[in-house]
Amino acid sequence: MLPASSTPLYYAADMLGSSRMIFNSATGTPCYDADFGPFGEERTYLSTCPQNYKFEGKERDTETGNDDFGARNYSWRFGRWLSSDWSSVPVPVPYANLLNPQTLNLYSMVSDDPESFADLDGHEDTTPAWERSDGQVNPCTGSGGPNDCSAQKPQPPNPQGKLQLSDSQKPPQPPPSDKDGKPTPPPVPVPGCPTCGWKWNPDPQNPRGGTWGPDGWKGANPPSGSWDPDGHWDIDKGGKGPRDHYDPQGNPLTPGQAHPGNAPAQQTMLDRMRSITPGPIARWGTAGVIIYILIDEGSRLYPPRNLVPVP
Amino acid sequence: MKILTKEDTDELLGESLDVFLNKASGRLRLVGGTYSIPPDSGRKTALSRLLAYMLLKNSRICVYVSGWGVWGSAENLDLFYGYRRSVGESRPLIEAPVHLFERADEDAFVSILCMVFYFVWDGWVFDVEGKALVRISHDEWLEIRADDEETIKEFATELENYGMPFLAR
Repeated sequence: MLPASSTPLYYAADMLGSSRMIFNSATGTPCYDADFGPFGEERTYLSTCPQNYKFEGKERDTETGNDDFGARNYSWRFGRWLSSDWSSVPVPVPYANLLNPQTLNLYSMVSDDPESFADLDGHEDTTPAWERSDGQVNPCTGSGGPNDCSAQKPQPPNPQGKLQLSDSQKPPQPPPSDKDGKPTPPPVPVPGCPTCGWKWNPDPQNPRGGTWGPDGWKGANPPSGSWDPDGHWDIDKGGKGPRDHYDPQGNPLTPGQAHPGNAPAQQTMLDRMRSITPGPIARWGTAGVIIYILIDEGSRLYPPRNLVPVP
Repeated sequence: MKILTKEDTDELLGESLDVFLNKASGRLRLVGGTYSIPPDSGRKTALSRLLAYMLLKNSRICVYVSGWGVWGSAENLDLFYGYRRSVGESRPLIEAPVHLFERADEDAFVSILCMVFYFVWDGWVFDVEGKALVRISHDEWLEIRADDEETIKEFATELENYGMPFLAR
């Protein structure tokens, strides 16, 4: 950081992004040293270069002591957000993962597990801090671009008042873009043409706004790529072989991984309970448990303990 | 067959199409699990006929094409638009993505659904009373949801007889 009319300061952050030490570039000596409690309480040991970027690297308001995470403000005193989570698209529970009930609390900080998770933008996110990379972080970083949170209007937390396990509840993920808000191409080489680059072909008739195609391709079936709002890349190899999916870092995904809401966990709990019907295995399993209990309990009663010689 | 805009569909359903689909996904029960759509075009045709047989019994059915242009090499928009023009529809999909079918429109239903499967598009098939819902994904799987036990069993039996492979259950 380069404060106005001052020497540069170098921040050393922990895995959650909290500023733990700051070094003065002129002297190379630490001028700030602090620890943070799990929910953001600051314990300062040294502070000769006062600064406001503290818990998880977010700016702490000097008057209120609250942290500005972008989408919401956070109070470390309560360990809670000062407003409920919200989504730019109407969904039953914003940013909730119904397989993790902790995420249903719209005021809790990273599902009340702040030692494992860091919040990046003020919305619930349970990606472990160590699994994140700079390529997919804060969706609120852009200014005026597709990732500008100020352009999103808060929605009521549960407009339909119903819970469901459909992946349609997952908010659409905006296509990856660079710092200027320009969309970035798929992070994989153009299939069948390693020397080609990706070129954006806008198409207002396409619900995805267009596709990425090879620059300078000659042939009947050009490969193409497009961003799936479920958060991955769909790559068409020009009709050759299976259709591929990649995560934002370019790692291949199976269709089940690409649409986790439709992987095995996609059935509701009720569906799964209903699918458990008493069959022969269940019946014999129950009978086995009863027989085991009878033998086990019987062995405790017979022979009587007071007749067993103590060695 | 009638071809509707999303606004027309909202009016038909009495609520927003997205809200309707969202609610129906939560309310209706899943049949079996997530099925893989067979890659063979002949089996796709048979699957379309099976869905027509199961769905077009009593109610009016909509086929909402929600995603296309993902697998460019697999789709043929000229064929699709040619079919729509043959029934007097000249608007593009982005304007009028919903197709409404009566019981007598079985052939048209099968034709549209076949193309959704052939071109590996995203789509929703649902009856306007909200009793059954089929979600078709561009990732070549589909899910069927229904409300009553009898329909669910019937669907499951028909799909088993058809040999529909599971992606996940």
